[in-house]
Amino acid sequence: MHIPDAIVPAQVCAGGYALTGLLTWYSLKQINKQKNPTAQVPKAALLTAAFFVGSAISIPIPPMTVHLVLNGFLGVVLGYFAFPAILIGLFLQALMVGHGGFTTIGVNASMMGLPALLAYHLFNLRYRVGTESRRLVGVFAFVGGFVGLILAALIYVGLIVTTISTDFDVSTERTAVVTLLLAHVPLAFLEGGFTAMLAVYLQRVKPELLSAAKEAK
Amino acid sequence: MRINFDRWIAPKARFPQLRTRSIAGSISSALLLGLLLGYGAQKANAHGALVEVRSDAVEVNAVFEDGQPMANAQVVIYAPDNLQTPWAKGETDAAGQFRFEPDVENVGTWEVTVRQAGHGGTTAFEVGESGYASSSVSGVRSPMQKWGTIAAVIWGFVGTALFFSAKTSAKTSADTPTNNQAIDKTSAVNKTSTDASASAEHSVPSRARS
Repeated sequence: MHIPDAIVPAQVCAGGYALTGLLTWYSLKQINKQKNPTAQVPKAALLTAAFFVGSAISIPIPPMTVHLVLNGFLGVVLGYFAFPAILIGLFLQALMVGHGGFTTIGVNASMMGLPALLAYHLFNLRYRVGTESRRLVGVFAFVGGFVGLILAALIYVGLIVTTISTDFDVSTERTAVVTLLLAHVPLAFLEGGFTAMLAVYLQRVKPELLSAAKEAK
Repeated sequence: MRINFDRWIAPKARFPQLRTRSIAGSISSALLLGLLLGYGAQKANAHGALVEVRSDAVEVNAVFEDGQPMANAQVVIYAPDNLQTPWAKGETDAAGQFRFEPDVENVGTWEVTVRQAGHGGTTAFEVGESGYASSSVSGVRSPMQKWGTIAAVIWGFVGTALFFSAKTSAKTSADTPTNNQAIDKTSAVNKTSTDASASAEHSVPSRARS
């Protein structure tokens, strides 16, 4: 779901960089409000690695093949650290394995990072619902992981559909993009389930890892 | 990733000079030299396209990152004299391949764009006037190299995590008193309280006196 170079117009790329700059600044500001901002760096570093590798793991969902995105998962577990983690992961994916593109790092970071921040806030809604039971953590983690990916896929579709060059057959491209979106629905269930399982596990063995996001509030 | 073709093994008869190069940053390429009847081929790993020059045509072979063919992808070709208006359009077959014969009179850089569902890339090749063109490529990456790169990056992240983890642990232990320090502090407290008791005992008479 990475937008490569030369697919979207330069204006969109510039807008993506501007929005990514703004979101990076805001995320770092929120991180700096924490009591010990560097305490979460080990967790963020490891999950950045998971995000980096995720794009290399292909899952065949006929007629397409999709790959793990894990942006909602990062949002749930990392909180505001998710955005810089995704930005760094995208940069390394473009640099080291040629996935995505350098001109579209801003667009891709906003496309995946903004839903990740939303996933984090969705996950935090559990504090308003009731006592922090495992079931509650699992349900909200699933919602975070699921919505994070689906929203990113919707943004992707919106960007591609609205910027198709007239040199191409627009209707064919639209059909292909919608098919790709549908292929991401099972993946969203998969990532949501994975996020829920990991959140419940962390809640059981090391709950402070999940409450770090709460600390930032 | 950019590739530079310095040498090329290409047919002299139909295309006196054919040179391909990638112009899209998203295209990481590998070149298979002389595998097919001595002709060159360029393979792109990341949603890219493989352009293979044959004796009678240019073959575009579009593949996804995992090597699966980009079937029924749209192909648009631009000639050197007009890079704004497509020279020809087409669609890859089930194997992700598309062949066409460029106009050899149209000397210069030809561009080929392949696209499907927001994926794809742009590749270019040049038709020259004379001589052989041949190629070498930089940035050739085999699957082993790719996963080696991924492993190196992961190791970097693990190292970062361990570094900050150790730093945090050191800070925590510095903030927490050690056993000896705790004993010393306890002794100091006991000593202070003893002294205080003694002075209190001594002070009683004075208070009594006062």
